[in-house]
Amino acid sequence: MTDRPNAKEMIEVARAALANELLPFLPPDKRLTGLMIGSALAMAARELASPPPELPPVSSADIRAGKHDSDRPLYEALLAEAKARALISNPKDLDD
Amino acid sequence: MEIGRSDRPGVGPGGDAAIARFLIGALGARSVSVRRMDRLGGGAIQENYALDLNVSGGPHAGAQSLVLRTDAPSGVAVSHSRAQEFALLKAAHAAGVTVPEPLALCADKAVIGRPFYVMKRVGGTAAGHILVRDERWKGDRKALATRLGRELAKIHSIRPPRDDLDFLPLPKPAPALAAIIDYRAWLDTYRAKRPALEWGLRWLERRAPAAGDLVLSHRDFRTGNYMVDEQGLTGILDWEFAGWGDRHEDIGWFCARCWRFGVNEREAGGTGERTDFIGGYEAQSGQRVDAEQVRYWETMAHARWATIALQQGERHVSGAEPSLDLALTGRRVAELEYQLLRMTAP
Repeated sequence: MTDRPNAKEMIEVARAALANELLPFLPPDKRLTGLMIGSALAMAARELASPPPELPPVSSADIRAGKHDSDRPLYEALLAEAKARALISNPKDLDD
Repeated sequence: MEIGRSDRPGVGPGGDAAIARFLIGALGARSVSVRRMDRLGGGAIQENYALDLNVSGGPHAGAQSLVLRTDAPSGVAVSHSRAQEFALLKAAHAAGVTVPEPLALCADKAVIGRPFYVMKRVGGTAAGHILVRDERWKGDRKALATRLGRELAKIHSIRPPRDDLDFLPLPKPAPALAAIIDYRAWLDTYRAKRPALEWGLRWLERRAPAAGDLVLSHRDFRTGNYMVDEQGLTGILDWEFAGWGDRHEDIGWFCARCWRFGVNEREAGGTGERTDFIGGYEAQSGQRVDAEQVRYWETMAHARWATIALQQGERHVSGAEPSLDLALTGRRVAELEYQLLRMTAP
């Protein structure tokens, strides 16, 4: 059992405090660092909320050897897995 | 090695005086005094310092605003040496490319402890997130994109063989295949499988163009690596990855979705229209740009950037260089692999 607030909730409240109480007061040369901390926290919260799926079991050597050149199911699985990771790390403008 | 403030390079026993003595000879001056030397931001591999001088006598007499560029103490050996970068900058300057004018190279480590060179300092900003959104540039976007196309064509007017650039290897067997071999070799050393990246590299291998005419490829010609002020372009920066390559590589890198800083509808680096950029290139070079080849290299750009993002992330993950910036860059690999896959359907 995990006590509440749990890890995701702790990150979210820390991120809100950063955005509302610290960012407006950071000097210009520290603002980028503040924004980067916010990004890192948001990413961690998203990963905790929805962990990415497992990678399809496939060997790199087989891909290089051309054994999957027409493998549509593998392609679709890789695409879905990469999209799930991208939705965690940077969900903006993925499909436009 | 460090003397004085921690953001100064390891200046040798003479400090500023050693730099001034070197520049008297290098600039053909009667006397040189250092008014200011401050670390500039950016560059994990190199360090840049704003260097303001008073120069008496010789062709550079007067107040001079320069940049001194040297290796970071923990520099990694993936990019060119400062001497090689200086040679590239000189070649580009001679070809009419808008670059900070290179003035003097100091290979003697006795002066500041590391090799360095000095170049004129250009004004403006290089920050991509500012250039793609700042309304000051709105009216000039067409001119900027056309100009950048022309600049790139001038870079590509530099062709092998060149005695002054003989340190640049010729890509074997061809630029695209050489890149794929390179990225796979690195992936073989990586601690985990990267099937999405492998998929993209296989797709690129099957469609790799044959070796064509080689040109000097800048290899990092993108928004973020050119300076712009309110009048327009002031300089093309960051020559450390330049090498002989395919002309379409730089065009693809510049236009690739991953270098548009979120402004995806402006396909030339997020700052301009693709047609203006290509138009400028074709007008300057007199050569037609093959749109299909550019698309190929835009796809390659995602594979390359994904590989670099993994490498940068590893510098953090390995514990060698704990850094929030490197950590975040490492996680960009997901979006790059996703876009790479979108471009490489079977």
